[in-house]
Amino acid sequence: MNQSSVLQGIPGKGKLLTEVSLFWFNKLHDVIPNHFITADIDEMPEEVRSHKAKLEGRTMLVKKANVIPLEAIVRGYITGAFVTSHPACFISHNDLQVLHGLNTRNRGQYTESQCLLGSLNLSSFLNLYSLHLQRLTRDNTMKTSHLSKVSPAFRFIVHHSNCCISCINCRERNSRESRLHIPPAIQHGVCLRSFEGNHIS
Amino acid sequence: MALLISDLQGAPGLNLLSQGKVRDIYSLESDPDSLLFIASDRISAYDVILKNVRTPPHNEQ
Repeated sequence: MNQSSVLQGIPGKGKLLTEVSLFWFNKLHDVIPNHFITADIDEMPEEVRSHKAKLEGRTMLVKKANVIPLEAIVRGYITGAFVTSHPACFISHNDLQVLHGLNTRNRGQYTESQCLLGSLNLSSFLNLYSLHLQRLTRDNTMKTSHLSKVSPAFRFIVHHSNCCISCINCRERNSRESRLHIPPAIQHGVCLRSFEGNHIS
Repeated sequence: MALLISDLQGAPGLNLLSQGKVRDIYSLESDPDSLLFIASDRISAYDVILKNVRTPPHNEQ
């Protein structure tokens, strides 16, 4: 029998998400402090314990903290939207495959598993009233008021995550220009994702 | 049965502060320095909460 079914939510998804979070909070607890207190309902206040049946496995008691609304994604492989939004192909550098000008003409030659690279994607809510995450660039980071107070180290990361792919693409078009622009990150075999659409189009 | 909404408004001692794509966040009257994060079974993709999803047909013997 062939049958498709319509799901409203995925039963148990919230419990799985909670378990994944717990794994990482535990793994990283001695690297950086976090907001986690407990996920054991029996250790929570009475007003929570009285809903144990509903909340068990999907609930965390956490410390209040000041939030920096920033999402950072480290990718080891290019998949999905990254491929279509960043036409590029690959060069080999110190035995590391890095992103390089995969255009519509030759995109089909590469499978996702071949697209090994290190990339760092930074997103944030450019508008605090929006749930939509947007990629950060040098320009919009400075214009985003809730990010304007973050540290110089963060600005450094955004700056460097912006520059690499566009520089490689420059090399395709104009080798002299590219030599001037290739950033230290590339020279060390690390490729960070570019957000500069004007170089990639 | 999927839990789509934590639905604890009106529960004594708990106040709903915010609902995100997946998590509901409550404050606790007994512990003003803490928050309660509840992960629902809601589905979101590309920053949108999906009301429902249709799973592909599967074969049964």
